[in-house]
Amino acid sequence: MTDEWNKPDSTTKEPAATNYGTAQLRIGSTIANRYLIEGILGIGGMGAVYRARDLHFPNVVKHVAVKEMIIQTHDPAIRNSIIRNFEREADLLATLDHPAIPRIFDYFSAQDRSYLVMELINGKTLEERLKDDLEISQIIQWAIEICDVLQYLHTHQPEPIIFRDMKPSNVMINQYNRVMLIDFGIAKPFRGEQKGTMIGTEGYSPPEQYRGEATHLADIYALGATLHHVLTRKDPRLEPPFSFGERPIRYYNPNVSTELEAVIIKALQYNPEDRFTSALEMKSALENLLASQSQTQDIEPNLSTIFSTDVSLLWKFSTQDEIRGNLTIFEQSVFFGSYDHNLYCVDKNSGELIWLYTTDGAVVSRPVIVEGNVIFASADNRVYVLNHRNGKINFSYYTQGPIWSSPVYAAGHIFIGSDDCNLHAINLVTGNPSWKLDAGSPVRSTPFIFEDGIYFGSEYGDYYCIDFRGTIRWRFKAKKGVTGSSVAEKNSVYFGSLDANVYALDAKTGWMLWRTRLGKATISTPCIDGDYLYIGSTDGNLYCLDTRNGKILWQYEAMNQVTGSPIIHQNRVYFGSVDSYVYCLDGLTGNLIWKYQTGGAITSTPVINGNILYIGSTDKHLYALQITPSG
Amino acid sequence: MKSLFKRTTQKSKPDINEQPSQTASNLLALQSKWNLPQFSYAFAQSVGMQRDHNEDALIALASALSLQDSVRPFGFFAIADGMGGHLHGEIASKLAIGSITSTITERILIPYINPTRPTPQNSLQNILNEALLTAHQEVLRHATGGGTTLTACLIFGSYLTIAHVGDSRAYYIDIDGAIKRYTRDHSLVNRLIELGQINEKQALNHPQRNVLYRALGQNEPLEADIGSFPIPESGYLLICSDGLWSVVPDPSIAEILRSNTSLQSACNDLIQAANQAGGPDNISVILVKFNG
Repeated sequence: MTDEWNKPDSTTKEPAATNYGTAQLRIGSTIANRYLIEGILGIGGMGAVYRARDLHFPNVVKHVAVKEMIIQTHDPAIRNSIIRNFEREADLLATLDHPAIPRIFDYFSAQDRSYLVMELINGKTLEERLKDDLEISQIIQWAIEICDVLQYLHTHQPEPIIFRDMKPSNVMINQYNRVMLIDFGIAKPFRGEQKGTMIGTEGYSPPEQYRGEATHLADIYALGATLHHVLTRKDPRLEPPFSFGERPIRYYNPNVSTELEAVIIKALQYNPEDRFTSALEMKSALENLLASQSQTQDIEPNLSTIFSTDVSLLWKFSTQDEIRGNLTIFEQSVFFGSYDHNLYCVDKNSGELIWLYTTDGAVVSRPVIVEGNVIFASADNRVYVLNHRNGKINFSYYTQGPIWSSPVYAAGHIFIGSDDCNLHAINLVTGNPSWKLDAGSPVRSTPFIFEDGIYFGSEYGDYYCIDFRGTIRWRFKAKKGVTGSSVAEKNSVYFGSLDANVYALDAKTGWMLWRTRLGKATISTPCIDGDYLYIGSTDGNLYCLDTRNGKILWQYEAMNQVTGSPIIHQNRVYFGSVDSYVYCLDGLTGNLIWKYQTGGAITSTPVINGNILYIGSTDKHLYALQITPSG
Repeated sequence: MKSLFKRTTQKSKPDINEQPSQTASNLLALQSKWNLPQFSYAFAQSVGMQRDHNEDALIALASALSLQDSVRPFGFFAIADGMGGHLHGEIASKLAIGSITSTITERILIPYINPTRPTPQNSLQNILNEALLTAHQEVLRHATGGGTTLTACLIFGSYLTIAHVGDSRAYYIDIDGAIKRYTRDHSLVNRLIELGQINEKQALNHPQRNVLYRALGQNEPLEADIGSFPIPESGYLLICSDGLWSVVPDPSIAEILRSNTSLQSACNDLIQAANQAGGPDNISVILVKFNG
């Protein structure tokens, strides 16, 4: 593809829209005995833009852009109006003299086509530059240049000119890194009362433009919209009109200063009188930013939002090895396992040890309390059933492989997966298996019971829905392992996979409703609050997804993997990260409320009981943190 | 790691003080029916009182596949309301309905009824979205200058999945007549309502009330609203073009459903109500009744 690009009249780049049966000019052909067509720069709804060589300069190579308009209608009135518009653009350009406006050399009509011959701009549109990493100061600099050319247009004599079509695809950045405005064709006539009128909204236009009342303040709004798009990378054409306020700039791009955000918000005011009164005023606001920004660039954002009074250490309990698994609170006790092979029972208020029980392997499994028993498993292949008051064993149950899954209890049975590739259903009364289901690969996910189905995944990515008799109802195949557990809500089961997807399946049929790709694999178990689903990923983010369609609503970047699972408590999300911090975020916005550092990576899931958050860390400690409930 | 307590390594007799309330025998009794929601449907259409041609198009496609374990219903219902002169509106809505239905049939219905086909490794929402975008391309290609709304509802498994662009609507109406909208109009006036600039009443007479900011066939990147909703145990799904909702208020719609015993007569009465209110536009109605 060529770097040279003058944009055609319409915004579309869909070749589909151009199938009029009116062919483009052939490369190598000459028009008006002067312009040798050398290439196509772009194709629009009304014709193409060509790169051509001006043959009136035979001794040198002089390139020009030739913009073509194909007139398709046979209605003479419409035909005349199209030609008049085209001439108007030509006349307009001929009267303008500004470094950011392309010069016009010629215009002419031939048969059903009209042509404008213009300065060829070497560069890319701002829309194309959206693919690049752009420095904010660079964006501000371009914005200043746009304000400058807008001010020139708005104060043009004898008549002010409204550009009316400010958007990233109409701004080019030339080879000298200077802004050029292209496409003065515009003034899309607005057809009024007629039933079923559609407007080709650009997403950048202000409300008054839909009423056909655009003044120079419409250009200010559209520039605000353009900057919003460039800074957030959220295409307004994919969003409802006038919804910029619903996509806060700093939310999508924390590197944007509050001052820059304020400038753009002002430009995007619904009522024209609330915006900057002129492009000049906006330009000076941006210039002030640039001046002050160079001084404050190094200040670390975000940290000011952490209020240490929101969280404090109540106690911590020391074990002899890493705590990687999840805990359970029952009555006055916290039950949790450690890599030191022990299951601990600790007073939840004081952190005093009540009892411990030693197995022959690491205990990662989350204990479950049923009928006076604490049930958990160990990497020594066994499921243990202890008396929860004194840690005395009632029985243990052998599988043929280490157990990383956690038990769940339903219908008189313990269900648990093992690295022996089976899901085991153990009768709690007899201690005997009622059945085993061969899942074909290790089962490390914790089974999830929803209505009368058991849902779990395997390390090869098979995901099963079985009934309480162990009969498979349906099976689904993820591309890689499913290590995290599932949650269900309204007939759907949700889980994450090592293939980096979060899946939503119809719980009854196993059909996929949606899937959403995260940056990397996940072994985190999602949690759900209303229409929000939260899940961590090894890409270091905690994600918030819309349960209805899987859209990512926000993501919060921790400093390392988020392998543990989030929990939601009073509209706040809590989770730990391998970066050693426990995080508390606003569940709606993902804004950080506080974070608390432990001495090692956190891979487990917090539990909140009363106003105390409990979580284990690989620094060999269980933490009890006093937290302040949300207002 | 040294053990601090002497451990029992053999399986010992359970010493459970409180007996588990559920035993293995009632585990089997817990098996409930694995039934999927069933439904019935009807539809009706009218050109209205003020138009001479119909730019609406609709599809109602339903099947019931009975396998050993359950009856598995499938339903696909869609309405498209075309716009743009020179027959382009008619062509656009027809194309949109034809295109999306073909895609859904090929990518969902056929794999579903044919056990030799693997379950698609694509989500229902994604398939529906791609089907809608394909329809968009068809309209762009073959009805240039025209456009159409499209509200498509897929009943499959225990979910109702809706893809929507424009200002046709899908409603849920429960058996008590409470009415809830599944879709959000992509109209300028609806946007102004959402922003608090005008109210519902002003919207009905707003000069730009027919202006859509999203429709199939526009030269813009198209973003459809897609969502899945659990199929209700009872009540109705109503899909209609603005020829109905712009002139028949919600309570009247609910009243017509309540007072009719058959779905078809309810559809007919809805059309009649719109025509009695002036019938300014084409009217299309699809009514689906959920039977638990």
